[in-house]
Amino acid sequence: DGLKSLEAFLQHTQTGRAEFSQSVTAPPKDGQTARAKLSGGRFEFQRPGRFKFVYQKPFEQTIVADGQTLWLYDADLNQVTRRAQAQALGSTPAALLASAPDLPALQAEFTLQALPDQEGLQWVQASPKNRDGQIKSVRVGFAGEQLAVLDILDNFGQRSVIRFTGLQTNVALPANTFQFNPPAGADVIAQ
Amino acid sequence: CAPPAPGARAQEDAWSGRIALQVQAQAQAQGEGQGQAAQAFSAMFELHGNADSGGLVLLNPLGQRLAQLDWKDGHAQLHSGQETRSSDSLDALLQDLTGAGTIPVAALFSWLKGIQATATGWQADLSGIADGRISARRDDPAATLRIALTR
Repeated sequence: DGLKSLEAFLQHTQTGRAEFSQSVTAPPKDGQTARAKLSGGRFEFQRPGRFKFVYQKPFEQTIVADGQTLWLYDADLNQVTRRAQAQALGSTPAALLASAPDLPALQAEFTLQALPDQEGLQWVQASPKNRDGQIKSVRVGFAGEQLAVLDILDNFGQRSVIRFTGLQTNVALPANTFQFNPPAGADVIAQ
Repeated sequence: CAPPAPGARAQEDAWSGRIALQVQAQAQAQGEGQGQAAQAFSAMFELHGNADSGGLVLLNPLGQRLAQLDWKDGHAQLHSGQETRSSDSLDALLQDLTGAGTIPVAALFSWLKGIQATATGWQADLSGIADGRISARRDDPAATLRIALTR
């Protein structure tokens, strides 16, 4: 079931890379369901603690967790925001994927519950124990051991579904994959 | 965009993109409390409505809402995390929201339409509006506001 898939994923998957598409739907407003906002790009991770989302569309944005610092680079604003990774990740879906070394470490942050199979995937639901974050719950979908979907519901009822395609796991990633050097001339802001 | 056809419900003005506000550090003015450290705020946003009645939603890059600020007829409400705060001062709630200072909302609605508008202390550069870029500077206390709209 989903819990076994998550445990196997945490144990057997050290590194990975995939394309991703993200669809964000706002909660329905006075009866009308909102239009989904689509974005996508490339995702890489090296457990524990390092991951990288490179958004290519609709705009260029890079999020890198290098183990200590979470970097966010917005090309249009030519601005880099840096935050201590520990505080920034807390109970976010990214923490689920990259930082938690094993199931017990994850269960310290999230209540985990296997869900019935759906869309041919095995699912587990993770609800953060720290209630004042933004996340209400995350449903993680696996194809066997392979991560397939992150379905994130926040406390405002906004839903963000991230689908991974072409996932390759335990591939050798270049050493500097998770090294982020702010581009020359970019504003660097500590937050 | 084409003006709404007469009689049709006016398509509500709405914008989305990224916003960044930077307030420079200030030395301590002669004996006037301690100086202020540099502060910065940036987030993805969705803005709709107008200065009298509208709403601003802030989001993180992965699509979760960080906060939602709504205002109407001189009253404003800020929803963030588990709490809601109301105030008759939109500026006060904007200050809470950004933690770095207030945003000239009334002028912003004009800037977004490419119309110059005055906001005390702010000068706006709308030269990049065709590419969805706005930047505004304020002298005292020194601050820069930058916006990149997502088409």
